[in-house]
Amino acid sequence: MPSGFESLSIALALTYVGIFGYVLYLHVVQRRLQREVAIVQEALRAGGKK
Amino acid sequence: MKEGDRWGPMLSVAWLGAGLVHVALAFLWAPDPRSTSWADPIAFRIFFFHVPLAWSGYLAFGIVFAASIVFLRTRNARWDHLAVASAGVGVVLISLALVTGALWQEAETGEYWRWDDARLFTTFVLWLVYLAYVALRSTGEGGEGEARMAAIYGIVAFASVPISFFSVRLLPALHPPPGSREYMTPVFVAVLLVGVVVFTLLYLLLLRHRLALLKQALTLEEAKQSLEGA
Repeated sequence: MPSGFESLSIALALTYVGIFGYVLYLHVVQRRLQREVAIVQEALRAGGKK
Repeated sequence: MKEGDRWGPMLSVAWLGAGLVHVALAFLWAPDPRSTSWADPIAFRIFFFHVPLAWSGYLAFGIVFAASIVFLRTRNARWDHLAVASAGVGVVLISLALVTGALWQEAETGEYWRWDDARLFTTFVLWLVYLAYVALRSTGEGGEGEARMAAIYGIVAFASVPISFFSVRLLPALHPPPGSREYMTPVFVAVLLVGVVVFTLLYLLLLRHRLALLKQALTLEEAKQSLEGA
């Protein structure tokens, strides 16, 4: 059974790990979307040149 | 560089600074609770994170409710996007409130979860209700019909927020009722308010990020349609 200080530390760590983990997830999704948008736009430009 | 891109890092740094101040205040400035009804005065400090997390989660679901009403009135897709983004952030915040609450409860009673605590049970139901909303929106086909149904769901689902908040007044619970003064000294209120500001700012930052992602996903969808049509 964790002590009061351990419970507090775990709660704080989980809160901030959870927040930063979510932010990291959002960044990963953003990068993937940016890559996909760039690929599609490149294909559109290539199609327009034909 | 776009205007929004310049504000993003500045807001994030401001939030990080405010978050660090809040942690320092909760650990170093806030005294032990004066009430003897709390078994562990150190674990009690989880309160300063747990309550603002729950508050910002409720706020997120309030925004889902308001945006859903406005969407049904205007049929402007921007309000639907706001509701979707806010629900996603709200689920994350309420998940963290549940986890921190379970840790605090373990320090107080030796158990992580008690089904007989009305606030815990109703907040768990609230979490499931919005988790279902997020799951349905992320797997759906999109379109006007789905957005309309989701808006109705978003309005009805909001009933679970006041049920969760007021459950401690109506049913047996380990949680103290809202406004309970048995442990609230002015210093406690001050640290709690700093926490509320910090986590409200966090909600706004995450919401902004989620909305930017939704916008990007729409741009991609439009580009793909142009490609198919070309």
